[in-house]
This record gives sequence, structure tokens and C-alpha cells, in this order.
Amino acid sequence: MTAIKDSVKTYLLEELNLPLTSEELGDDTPLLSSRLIDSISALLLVEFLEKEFKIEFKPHEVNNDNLDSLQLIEQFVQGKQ
Amino acid sequence: MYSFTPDPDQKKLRQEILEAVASLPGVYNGGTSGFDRERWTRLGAVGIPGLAIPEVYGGKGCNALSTTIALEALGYAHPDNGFNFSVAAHLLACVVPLWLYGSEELKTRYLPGLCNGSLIAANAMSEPSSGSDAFSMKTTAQTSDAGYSITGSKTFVSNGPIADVVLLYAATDPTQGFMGGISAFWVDRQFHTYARSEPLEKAGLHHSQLGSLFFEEMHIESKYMVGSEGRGAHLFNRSMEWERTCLGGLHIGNMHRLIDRCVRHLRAGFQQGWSREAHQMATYDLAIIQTQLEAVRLQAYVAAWKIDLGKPAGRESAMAKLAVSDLYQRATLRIANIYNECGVQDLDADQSVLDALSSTLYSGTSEMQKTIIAQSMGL
Repeated sequence: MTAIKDSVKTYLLEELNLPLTSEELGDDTPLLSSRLIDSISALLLVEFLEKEFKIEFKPHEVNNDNLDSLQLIEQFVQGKQ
Repeated sequence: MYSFTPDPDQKKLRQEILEAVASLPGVYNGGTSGFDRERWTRLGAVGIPGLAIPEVYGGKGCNALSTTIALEALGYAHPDNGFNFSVAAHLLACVVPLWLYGSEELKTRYLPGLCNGSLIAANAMSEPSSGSDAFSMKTTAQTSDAGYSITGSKTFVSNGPIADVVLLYAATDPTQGFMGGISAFWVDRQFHTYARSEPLEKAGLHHSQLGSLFFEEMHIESKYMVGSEGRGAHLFNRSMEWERTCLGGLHIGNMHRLIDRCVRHLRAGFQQGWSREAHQMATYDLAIIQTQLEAVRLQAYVAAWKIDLGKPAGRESAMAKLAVSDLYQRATLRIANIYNECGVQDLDADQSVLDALSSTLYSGTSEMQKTIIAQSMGL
């Protein structure tokens, strides 16, 4: 697992209390569309990503396309760096 | 590591507030409406409207835990729950988000006045058609002339009829909604034109002025946006973490006062020969209320502690809000009944029953808190 995915995974499990074990949370596990993450937590995740990776989301980028799995999050962060 | 023993600074702050409130003129616990701006100014002189704000902006520099402890002292010593509520709503739902997300220009310009009591703020989120589904708002902010044009109306705005400044939430992109479509604006009544209603009638919290605000193509410059465009929902949720946590301090202080007074009343009766057996239910119920009060106080402190660690505290603040407000309603009613069982009426307890009624409504209803907690569990 890459550093980005690893960092996000730790945040999801330890800070946002995702009800999964580390083994259950895979790269493609749906996060928002499965309601594992609610909308309030999604915005917390956005704030975390911006601070952690020094990137900035535009309003229209805060959506499932960029946040729905560890894989998509990593792609988005890498695209911004 | 948890440690919730008040430190010397927190003890000093608590004492400072108790002394300041004791010297206030005309502390009132009656049933009429009205707002005492002079008292707000007096509280400003000891820094209560700016408890959580760094000293560099004129605040007291308290963290969330110290803010909760300070509001507990205010709730204990100042038996005007409506007035206390107004000050806390100003601080937690308006001043804190401005400090956390506002531009340096806005912070430098407004925070000192908000902290010293010369400015009063209101938070405008709820709308007539949205209620708890707050983010499906109809109020829109469309780009125009180096700024925005805002149209819509807000209701249940605490301090709305008297506010000098308003933290207003509007949809900058209704198609995005909660996720990037809501933005926050700092509205200054000196420069921005909007209408406001008379204060609404309500059962309790009489000295808190609640009303509606109306915006008709109100122009506001981009520099008055708080946080970046589309971050209003996040900003609101962060402010609610503070409000759901720290405002409970007022209720805890109120309950603490009622318990202390009721215990003194019963003890005086026992010394005059009342039968302890005849009042056993009252003493047992007070013991349960005391036990539950200690539990919810810790819940509020844990939520504050998480905020102070810089961690997400949505779940903890919702739990604290749910538990404190539920106990607040039950405890005030039971204590008022105990006085009645003793054959006397206690205005403080009776008024607190009425003031507690709305505690399961504001800052999100209890049902909303349950939803937040359940969603945080993946349900």
C-alpha cells in the first residue's frame, strides 16, 4: 500500500471510526456510495486530505468520483500534487 | 490520557466568572421578553462572549474544555438561561467559525468587538422549508459584480432581531448541495441591507431573541465570504461540534444550581422535623440526577477534549448534546415536582423546565443527533 493510501486508511479507521477492520478496508471498498462514510465525515476527510497533502479541492471536486475509495482518493491526490 | 481535573487557570477562570456574574445588576429570571444590551456589555468586559478566541484578537484564549467549564460557571451563577443561551450561541455558532475559517482581514476587523461585547452575532442556517434538512436550503448566492447577490429567508435565528452581524449560509451551487454547494457569508448590518422580524414568542429562554431574516437580492462583496466557496457545510458542522459540546456547559451549570438549591431546601426541612421517609423518593431521585449529571458532564468534557486535540468530534459532540439535553429536560421537571411535593413553588426550577424544553431542538434535534451517531457507526 502506498503512503497516501496508508495515511488515509489510518485516518478513516482511527479518526472517522469506520466500522471495518484494516483487512476489510481494501483499495476499492466503496466509501460514500455504500454509506460507510456519511456526508459530514466526507467533508472532514476533504479537510484532512487538504492539510495532509497540501492540496486544494475545488467545490465541484468534492464528490464520489474523487472520494469513493482509497484508490480514487490516491488518484485525485496524485493528480493535484 | 484523560485528565479533567480543572487546572489552576480553569479554577481562576471559573472564579472570575462567578464573581463577575454576582456583581451584575438586575439578574432576572422572569417570564417577559426583552433584551438587556447593558448586561451583554458587562459580560463582554470579562470576556465571556469571546472565551474561545485567542488573546491576540481580544479573546480569553480558552480551549474547548475551558470554554465548557466557563459556560458551566455562567449557567450555575447567572439564573437567566435565555440570556446565557444567547451569549453562547453568539460565541459558538458565529465567533468560533469566524476565528477558525475567516480571512485575516475579517478576523482583525470583527473579532475584538465580538469578544468585548460591543458586537452581537447571529447564525442564520434554518429555513422555513428545510428544518432539520438544513442543507436543502432555498437561499441562494449568485455571483454578481465582484461579489454575490443573496436571496432567501432564514428562520429560528437566535439573536436575529438584535444582531449587528450575521453568519449566513447560502447555496452557491444548489446542484452540489451539501458537498461543495453551500457557502458562508459574514453579513454586517451597517453595510448590507436585509429585513428582520420582531422577536418570536416562545415558551422559555425569554431573554434570547429569536427571529427571522429576509434577504432580497442583497449584494455582498467576495471578501465577506467565510472560508472558501463551497465549504459552508463543513464550516457549519465544525461550529456545531463546538456548540453541541460547550453549550451543554450552561445546562450542566443550571442543573448543578437547581440540585444545590433543592438539597438545601430538603436539608432545611429535615432540620425542622420533616420525615425523611416521606421524602425518600425525592432524595433517591436527586441522587440519580446527581449521578447522571456527573456522567453527562464527563461526556461533554470528552467531546471538548477531542476538539482540543484537533480531531473530528462530530460523534462525541452529538452524544454529549443528546445526553445533556435529555437529562436537562428530565432533571428540571423532576426538581420542580420535588418542590411541589414539599408544598412550595420554586420559580427558578419552574422557569428552568420551560427553558429546557427547546434544548432538544436547537443545535440540531435529538433525532438529528441520533442520526449523526448512527451514521458514524456505519448505519
